[in-house]
Amino acid sequence: MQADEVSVLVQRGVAAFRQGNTADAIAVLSKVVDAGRGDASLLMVLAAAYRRERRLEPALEKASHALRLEPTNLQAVLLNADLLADSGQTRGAASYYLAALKLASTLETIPDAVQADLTRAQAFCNEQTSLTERNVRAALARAATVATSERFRESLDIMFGTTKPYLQQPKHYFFPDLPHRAFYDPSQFDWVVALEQHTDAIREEVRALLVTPDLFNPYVERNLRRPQFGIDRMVNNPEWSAFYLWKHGELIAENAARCPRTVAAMQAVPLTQMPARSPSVLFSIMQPNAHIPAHHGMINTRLIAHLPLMVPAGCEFRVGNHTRPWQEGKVWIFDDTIEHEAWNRSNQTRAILLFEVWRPELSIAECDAINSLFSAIDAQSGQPPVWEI
Amino acid sequence: MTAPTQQLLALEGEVERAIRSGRESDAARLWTQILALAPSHTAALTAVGQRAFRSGDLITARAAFDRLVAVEGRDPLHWTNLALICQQQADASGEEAAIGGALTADPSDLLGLILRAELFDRLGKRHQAAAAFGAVATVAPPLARLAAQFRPAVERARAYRDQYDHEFGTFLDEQLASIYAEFGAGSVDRFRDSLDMLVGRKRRYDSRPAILYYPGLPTIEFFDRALFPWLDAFEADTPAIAEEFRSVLRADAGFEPYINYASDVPVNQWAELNHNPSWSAFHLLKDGLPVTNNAATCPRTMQLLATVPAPDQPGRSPAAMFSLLRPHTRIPPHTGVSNVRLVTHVPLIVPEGCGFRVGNTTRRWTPGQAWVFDDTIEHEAWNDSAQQRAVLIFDVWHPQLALEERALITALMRSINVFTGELGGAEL
Repeated sequence: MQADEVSVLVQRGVAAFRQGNTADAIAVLSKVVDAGRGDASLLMVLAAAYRRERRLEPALEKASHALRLEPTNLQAVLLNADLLADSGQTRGAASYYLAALKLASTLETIPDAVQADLTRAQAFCNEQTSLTERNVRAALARAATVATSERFRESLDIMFGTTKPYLQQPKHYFFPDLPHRAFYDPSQFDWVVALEQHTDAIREEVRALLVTPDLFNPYVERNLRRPQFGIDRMVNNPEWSAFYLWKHGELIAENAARCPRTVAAMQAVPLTQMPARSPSVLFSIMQPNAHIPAHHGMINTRLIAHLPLMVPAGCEFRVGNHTRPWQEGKVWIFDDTIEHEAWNRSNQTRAILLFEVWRPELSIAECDAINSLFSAIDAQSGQPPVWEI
Repeated sequence: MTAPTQQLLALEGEVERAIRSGRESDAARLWTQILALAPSHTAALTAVGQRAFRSGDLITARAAFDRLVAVEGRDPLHWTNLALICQQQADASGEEAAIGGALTADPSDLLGLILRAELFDRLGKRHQAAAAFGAVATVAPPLARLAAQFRPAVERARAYRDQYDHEFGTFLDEQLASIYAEFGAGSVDRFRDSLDMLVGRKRRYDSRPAILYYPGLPTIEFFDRALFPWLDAFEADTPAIAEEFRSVLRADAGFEPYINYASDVPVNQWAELNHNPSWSAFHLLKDGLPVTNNAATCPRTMQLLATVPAPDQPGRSPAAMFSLLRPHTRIPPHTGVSNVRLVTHVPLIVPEGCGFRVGNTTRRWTPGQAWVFDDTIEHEAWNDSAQQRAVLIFDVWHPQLALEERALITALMRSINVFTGELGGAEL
């Protein structure tokens, strides 16, 4: 077939399609395609003509041919998806719509006309996902394999997109290969039960502190030596304050003198020991109706423990996907490099004892190496470390 | 309306007309008159200060911007202008205070961060300069999207940070050499990785499963060999497995391209290897079931595979195959489907010039030495030699999943199959 003949047929075929004369369009354009002279856009017009005639099988064949010629043609992907949807193949349609959305996300500009198709594609995928989710959850329930595992339930929520994985995001130092776990099982830590037995004595000491004016400082203080991005609402915020017994590895003698029983109880806990940095042990106070916005800790080689002392109803704490209320006298241990936040939705003060312990996955050799690292950093900079708990 | 207010409005109108018709000296005179009436007029302070700065009258410029930041301290631009004036006056403490003002107004103000880094550098405060240049590099958008006037400063910030990190890393290596010697090889490997990440010699790789992310598991590139005692038998019997592989290779039947997507599906990273015999597989277990004809020809390998704690996910897993990589073929970086299963390699035939990278770690296959890795961490493989490379590959459960969790995951996969009315499929 000569080039001028092709061009005449294409013009005639496309004109016939535009005028709604689909039978003619199919007849004319098929001649070009059968002669091996059809490009992707021509195949798509032909597919669209078949679609108007409700002849879905040849329509799909032509659309699929177009996509083979131009695998990254967004409109060809969408057309394949539409045709599969028309023919009731919802799962196939969903996978093509998904492919279209992925492809679109790599493109710099999207024509307005296609934008509406993409919105439709997203809606179709959402609908399919939620249908799958409902059915799979129902099937799991029927199979009596009741999801007793908390992390299995979390994996389901992540798979169906109702939540996302929360990973360790330390601001300062990342130690690899550790599990991304929000809360640890307190029974893994042999000091917990003994400490919990001192709750009443420790609570009495924090009560005495709270009735003495001016003992507490803001939890996060402005530090002009370092950029403090993204924590504007936490810096110098009087709604969240602290009273330190140990700070950056040093016992604060005058504070410790006010809380002898707390200090004695903490002697039995294997606190993180890092020169000029750890341990820190403090009473953390949240004022009524305070909210500590979501944030990440400094370093993932330690865990943070809370001993709740005064917990009015309406207080909650979230680490990653897990939200829990504090319970007075019950220790919990969490990874503060996973995004976390706290609420006091009551009219009373919330008080906890807060401190840090090494992660149980670390060997003694690794803890020693970490301490040597930070000593070397301090030696090099010749400055006190910038350190927060 | 009071008389001074009316007069001010009139002057503001005049100054606007003077600016529009390009009468600069008239405008300057009018701004001074406005300031006489309204000493805190921000537009007038800006205009008078900028004009004075341009003409080298630093004292007038300084006075105007000192006043301006006192009146309107929320705009970082006023503070950075003040800092530049202080810089011209060689007043380092004034400059530092002005930069502090800019960064208090907006902690991620790029010009403020650049000025702070350059000031520390001029003052010889190396560590503070490095931290400050690091902040510039972190906050700045990619060079292509950056305003032209910031590009040289941001490029310099990156270079400064990289050089500092290099020196910092060398220093830390020296400081820690003795403690490494004390603890011996192997005991502080992941610590050494952490140090490499701290100084930018390695980057962090996370598990990025395409379908099912299982939380709470550690992200480990190559697992500790001791967790998989059944690997001993595979390693000891490598010659027998390799012999079975050689005989199927001689028969030259049953191999198919490793990547086999329908040709009209967008395949992105796999475009080059899709349907390509350069990377092919001889399947022993496929989508959870034995491939009968193939399995019958490899009895010893099948016997060994029966000892593996394999996932039970009909339509999906376990898979086991001989993977054949032809000469001069590279498998591009990619990530797998779910971190509930790990992947085992038993190397059979490995010419020189082959390699395998998972995250930060690159290893060479050695026949008789198997390994288990997490394929949801970015990984790639290559055969740059002129010979073929052959590896036995199969799935195992992640060893940190409890039996109950494995049962739940199996039930999940079955439920998905029941719902979709198919086994497996590309989506899972």
